[in-house]
Amino acid sequence: MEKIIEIYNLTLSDLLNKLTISVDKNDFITISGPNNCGKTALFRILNKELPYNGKILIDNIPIEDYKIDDYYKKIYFIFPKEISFSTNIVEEILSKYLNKKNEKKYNSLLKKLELDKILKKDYRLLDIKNIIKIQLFIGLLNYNILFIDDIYKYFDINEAKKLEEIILKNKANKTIVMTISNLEFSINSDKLYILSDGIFMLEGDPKTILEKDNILNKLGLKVPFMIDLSVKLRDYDVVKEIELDMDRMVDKLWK
Amino acid sequence: MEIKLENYSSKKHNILIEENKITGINGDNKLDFVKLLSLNNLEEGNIYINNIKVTEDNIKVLRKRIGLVTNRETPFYINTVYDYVLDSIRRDNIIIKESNKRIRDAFKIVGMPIYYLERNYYSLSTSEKKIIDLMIVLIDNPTIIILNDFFQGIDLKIEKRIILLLRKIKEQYKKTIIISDDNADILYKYTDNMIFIKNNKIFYEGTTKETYTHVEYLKRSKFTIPDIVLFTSIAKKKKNVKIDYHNDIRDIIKDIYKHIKVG
Repeated sequence: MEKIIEIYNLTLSDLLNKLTISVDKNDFITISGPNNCGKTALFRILNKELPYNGKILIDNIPIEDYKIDDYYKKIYFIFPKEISFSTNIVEEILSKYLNKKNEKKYNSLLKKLELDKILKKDYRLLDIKNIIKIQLFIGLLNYNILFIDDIYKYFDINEAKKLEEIILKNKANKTIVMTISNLEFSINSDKLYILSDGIFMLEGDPKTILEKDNILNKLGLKVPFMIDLSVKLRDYDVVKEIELDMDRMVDKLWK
Repeated sequence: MEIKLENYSSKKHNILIEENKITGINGDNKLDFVKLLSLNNLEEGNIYINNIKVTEDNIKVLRKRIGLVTNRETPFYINTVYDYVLDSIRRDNIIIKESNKRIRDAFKIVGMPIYYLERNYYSLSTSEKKIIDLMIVLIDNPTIIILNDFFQGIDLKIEKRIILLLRKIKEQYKKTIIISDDNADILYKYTDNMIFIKNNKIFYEGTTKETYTHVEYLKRSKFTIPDIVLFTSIAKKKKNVKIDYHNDIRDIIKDIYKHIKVG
């Protein structure tokens, strides 16, 4: 597989300690960990806000070698609380990304993210949820490499699941690296990384990682309910495998 | 200290937020409801704080009895925790006599050493920042504390630390706590009573244990149901099993094990 993001021995004061990770092109990876583990700091480094030791390549080129415009044409960061646009009206912001090739996707995303209802509004007066939707719209429509910093925490679980569905449906030909505080949103990613004490303590298939409930709980991370239930029932020999669907679990338990 | 709302939302509802309890708020317009409870918006009905009707004449005094903890923006000119505390007091228009003594007292309540005032604000952990935000509200010694989206994105360790602190504040200092949040698991686990808001109206209210068992009723109106409740409800509905609604996953596993063995 072609590697698109490569990070080697990334070190940042006490926070990150020789962190190494490589992401394949078109992979969707999630990064989680306890508060203050360095998830956001990692993105801040990639966004050229923090100094660091180590080596970072995006598409085989060290990030220092990119001209600033070229760098931000290639990758898009979603930091929900920080955004400014050259124009204020939502419609004017979004229409800059419309062209003949993407018209269908433009309109579909607009509707799915319910941005069609706020087109005439001034983005500075919008709440954080709508700001995130605008950022997501731009990222999913126009970029192939996205770094998304913990957006689901601003939504209730049902709203967050809707956003997740939109991301999953639009992730073709995109490399997405997303930090999450709710591990439930790792299940549909290709790979989950758990960051703690400056290193990736666990990495791999999300379901396999999430079964390590003792380690995750010790780190202060909450295991999604159905995985927690499955693992505990499996320990009692009540079920044989992880079941994520509540109805199916009930059917298995009470035949 | 209790809050009573009379004729809220088209004169249809009277609500009592009981003193020394933790009350949860969930729903689409919860922020508007929080503004109402924190006396920042008096457009709906009559509000009584400990049986005193809130009027234009007494609102300033009564507002001091209510502390609203929100996620604050951190201004760029802040260096130390002390800077942050003073800036927050200024922005909240809190006028305090003997402010240094009050700050020291508030630090004591949250169990944080006073030397934290000298620390660089940006070197604090998330839980320390959260506790500082709570501490700032306590400086004015309110009797009702409202936490708005305070639990967003925090891990289990911090969640537990904050809940322990809130319970201590409630018990030892006789405060009434209100948690307005999107996270149904937190509301189910830690509150005594619940108020569900929909379209700026009270949709449902009662004890947390009781209200959340009305799963279908809440689900139809798109309220989020805690996973542990949802699973129990599905088992009851599909298989007619007599398992109880629990707070802790270990209890539900005991129930399942008991029923599987018997069945």
